[in-house]
Amino acid sequence: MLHDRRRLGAFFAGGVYLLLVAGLIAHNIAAIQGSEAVRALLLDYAYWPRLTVSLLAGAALGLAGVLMQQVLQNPLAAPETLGVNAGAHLALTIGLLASPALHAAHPELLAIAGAFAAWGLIAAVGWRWRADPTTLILAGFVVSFALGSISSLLMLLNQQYLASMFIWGAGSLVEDGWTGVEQLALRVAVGATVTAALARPLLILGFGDQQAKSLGLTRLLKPLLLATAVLLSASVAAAVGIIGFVGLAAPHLARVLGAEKLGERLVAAPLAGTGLVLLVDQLVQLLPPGQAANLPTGAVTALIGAPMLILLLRRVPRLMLETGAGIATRLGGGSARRPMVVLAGLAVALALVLALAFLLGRAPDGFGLHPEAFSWRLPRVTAACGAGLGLGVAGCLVQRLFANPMASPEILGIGGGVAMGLIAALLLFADSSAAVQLLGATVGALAVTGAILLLGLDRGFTPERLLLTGIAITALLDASSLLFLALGDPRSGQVLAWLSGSTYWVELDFAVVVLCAGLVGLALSAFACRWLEILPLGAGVAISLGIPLRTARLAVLVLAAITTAAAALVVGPMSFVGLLAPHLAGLLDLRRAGPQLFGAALVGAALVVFADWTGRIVFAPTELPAGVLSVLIGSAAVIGIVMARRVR
Amino acid sequence: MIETLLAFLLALLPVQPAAADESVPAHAERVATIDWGTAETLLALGITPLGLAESAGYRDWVGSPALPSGVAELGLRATPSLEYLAALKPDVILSTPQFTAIEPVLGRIAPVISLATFTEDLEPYRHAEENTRRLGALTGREQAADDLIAAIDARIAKLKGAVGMAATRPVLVLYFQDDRHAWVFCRGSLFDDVLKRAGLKNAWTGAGNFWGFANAGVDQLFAARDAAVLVIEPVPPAVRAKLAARDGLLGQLPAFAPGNYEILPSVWGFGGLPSAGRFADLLREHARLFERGHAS
Repeated sequence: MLHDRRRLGAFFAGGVYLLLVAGLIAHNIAAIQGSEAVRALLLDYAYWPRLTVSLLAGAALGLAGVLMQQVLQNPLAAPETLGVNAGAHLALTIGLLASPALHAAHPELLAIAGAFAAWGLIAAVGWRWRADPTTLILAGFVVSFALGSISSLLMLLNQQYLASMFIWGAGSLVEDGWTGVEQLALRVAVGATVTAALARPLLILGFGDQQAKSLGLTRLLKPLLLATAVLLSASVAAAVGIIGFVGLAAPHLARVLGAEKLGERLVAAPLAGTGLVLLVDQLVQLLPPGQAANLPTGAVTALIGAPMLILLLRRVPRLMLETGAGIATRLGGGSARRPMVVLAGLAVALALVLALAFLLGRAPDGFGLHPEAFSWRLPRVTAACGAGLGLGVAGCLVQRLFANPMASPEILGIGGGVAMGLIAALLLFADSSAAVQLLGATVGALAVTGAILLLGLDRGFTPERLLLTGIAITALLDASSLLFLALGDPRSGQVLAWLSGSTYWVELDFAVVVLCAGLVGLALSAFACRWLEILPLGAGVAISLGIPLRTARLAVLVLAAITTAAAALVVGPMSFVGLLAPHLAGLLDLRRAGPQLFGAALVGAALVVFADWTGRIVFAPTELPAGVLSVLIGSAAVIGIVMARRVR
Repeated sequence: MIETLLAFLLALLPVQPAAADESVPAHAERVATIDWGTAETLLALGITPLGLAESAGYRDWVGSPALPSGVAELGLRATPSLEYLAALKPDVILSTPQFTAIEPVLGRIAPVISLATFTEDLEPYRHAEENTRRLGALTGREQAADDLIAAIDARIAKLKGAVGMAATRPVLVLYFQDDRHAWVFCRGSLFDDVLKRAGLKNAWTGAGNFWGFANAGVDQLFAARDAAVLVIEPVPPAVRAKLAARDGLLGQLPAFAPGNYEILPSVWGFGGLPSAGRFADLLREHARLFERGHAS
C-alpha cells in the first residue's frame, strides 16, 4: 500500500517535471534571436549539443555513482568523494601550464589520467586502512584535498593564465559544436555496455566478497567496474568541467523515488542524474546573455543538490556499514609513553617552531633575522599559533562528542558554515570590522553544528551520516563562494584570500583575539575533561555515570563551534588541522581526554605556524597561504604515515 | 644583538599604523605599487617604481611601456611580501580598491594611496585621467601628467579621424577564456570608453560587472552579427584552431568569418591611460575593419 502510494507520487512528480522541462525547452528555443541562418546555426551548433551534453553528463555521473556505490558497497562513493574531480583538476591545470597545445587537443586524456592516478592513490591509502567503507571515503577526502591544495597553489601562482580553470571548476555546459558531445556519447555508450554486460555479477557483489568468490567471480570484476565508473566521470569532467553532486546524489534520489532494487537503480540513477542536470541547465539559460555564463550549471547544481542530499538523509534507509573504528586505533600501537613527557616534548617542539617562524625570514639579501621585520611577523605567528591551537582543541572536542574519530570541524562542515557566515556578514554590513567578521563566522559555525545536532538527534551520529552532511555542506560552501566570486563583488578578493587561509591581513589585536579564543577554548575544555572522557562511551554510560547529557553535548558543541570560528577566520574553512592534530596526538599515545586535548592543541599550533612560515619563505617574495599549505602538509602527513605503516 | 632584542620588544608593542596622507613627502620619488595599471601610468610619467607585484605578469599582459630591469619583484598582487616591500623603504605604496583588505597592513610600512579606476559609476577613462593627475601631483610631475593626458587624447582623436565620417559598424572586443567562453568588454570598461570617445559603437549592449566585462558563451556572440570583432591576445590554441579551420559554431558564425575579425596583440583591459592609448593605436591600424561596406 505504502509502496503503491510512493509509486503514484513518483509518477505524478515525473509528469509535473516533464511538463516543466518541456515548457522551459520551448521557451529557450523561442528566445534564440538572430536571422534565420544564424538561428539555425545556433540551434544546431549550440542549443542541441548543449541539451544533449546535459543529458549525457547527468546520465554518466548517475551511472558512475551507482557503480561506485555498489562495487564498493558504500553509499558515499561518488566521483567527488573518490578523487576523480580533484585528480582531473590537477592534471588539467598542470597540462594547461606545461603544454597548452596538448591541453587544447586532448583534455580528456589529461582528465582521465589524473582521475585514475588520484583513484589509485586513494585505493592504496584506503587499502592500508583495510578499506572499510567509511575510511575509504575519508582517504578520498584527504587525497582530494591534498591534490586540491596543489591545484590551488598553481592557480594562485598563475592566476592570470588559468582563468579558464575557474570556468571549468564551476562546470559550464556551453557547447560549440558536436565534437565534444560525440566523444562523451562514445564513452557513455562504452560504460553503459560494460554495465549491462556485468549487471548480474554486479548484483552478486552486493552479497559480499565471500559470496562473490564462491560464485566464481573473478578478481578482475571489481577493478573493471570501478575503472568504468572513473572513466565515465572523468569524461564528463573533461567535457564540461565539474558538475557538483550529481554522482553522489542521483543514486540516493533514485532510491527515494522508489528504485529499491539494484537493477532498477542502474536505470533510475542515470535518469535522475539526467533529470537534475537538464532541469538546472534549462533554468540557467533563462538568464540574459552575459549573465548566464556567470551562473555556471555545475555550481548551481551543487547549490541545489547539496541541501537536497541533506534532506534525503532523513529518508535513506539505515545503511549497513561497519562503523569505522577509525584511524586513531588503526594508526595506534607502539609502546606506551608517559603523557607528561610527550606533552613536554611537544611544547619544546612548538617553542622551536615559534622561534624559527618569528626569527628567520627571507629578504632580498637572503635568509636572516631581519629584526626590522619582527613587527610584520609577530601578528602572523600569533594568529597562526592561535588558529592551530583552536583547531586542535575543536577537533578533539568534536571527535569525542560524536564518538567518532573521523569527525572534525572541517569534515563536519563547521568550517564551511564559518565561510558562509563570513560571506553573509560581508554582504549585510558595510562595515567589515574584525568584530563583525567574528560574529558572522560564529553564527555560521553555530548554525552548522546546530543542524548536525538536529539531524543526529533524529537518527544517531553514524559516521556515514556525519560525513555525508559534512560533504554536502562543503559542497554548498564551494558553490556559494563560486557564485559570490562570479558576481564580481569588489569584496570577493577578500573572500578568496580568506578561503585560502592567509595570515597576511591579520593585525596584532585580531591575532591576540584569535590566540585568546584558542586558549580560553583549551582552558574550558580542560574543565570538561570528565565529560569528554565519558561522552564517547555512549549516551547510556554517560547517563548512568550522572552526566547531564543534553547540557554536556550542547556545551561541548558550542565550545567547538566558537573555537573553530575564530581559528577558521585565520586559516580558512578547510585546513584539516582539526582532523589531523587529535590523530597525531593519538599517534603519540595521548589517548585520554586531557592529554589528547593539550597534545592536539600543541600539534595544531606547531603545524599551522610551520605552514605559515613555509609559505612566506619558499617562493619569497611570492607568498603561499598558510591554510592551503596546512592542507598539503597535513594530508601528506596522513598519507605518508599510512603508507609507511605495514599492514597488520 | 641589542638591536635584535630591541626590535623584538618593539614588535610586542601595539603597532601604530602609519598615519595616512600626512606623511607622504611633497614629491614622492620612492614609489612601490601592486597594480599593473598604476605601474604603466608611472612609467609613462617617467617614474620607475621601486617594486611591482607579479612583474612577470606585467611583462606578458601589459608589455608596454616596458618594465625596466631594476624594478623589484614584490610577490602576488593580493599578498605582496611585507618584508620585501619594507626593505625598499618606499615613500608611498600605491594600491587599488581591489586590495582594500590588505591596506591597513601595507599602511604599517608606508602611507597607502588607493587609486580607483574601475568603479560602480562605470567611467574608467575619466578615473584614469584623474589618477594620472594625482600621480603627477604626488611625484611632482604635474606637467608630465598633463602631457600624458593630452597625448592619449590626441591618439584617440587620430583614431576618430581615421574612422572618419563613414557609417561605421559596431565593434565587439573580447578576450577568449577557452574555446567556449569569452570575456566581452562592455560599458564600464576602458576599451568601451575609448570606443565611445572615438565615435565607435560597442556591439555588446548587455550589462557586465563593474570591471566592464561580461562572461559570455560562444553561442551568445551572435549578437555581433553585423559587428567588427576584435580578439585580443593571448588566444587559446583551441580557439585559433577553430577559427583557422572554420570549425564549430565559433568558426561558422558570420562574425568570425575571415576578414571580419582581427587578432590584436596583447593589451591590458584593466590598466590606465597608456593601455587606453595603445588600444586606440591598435584600433587605428585596423580602422578599415569598421567601415560598413567592409563586411564580407
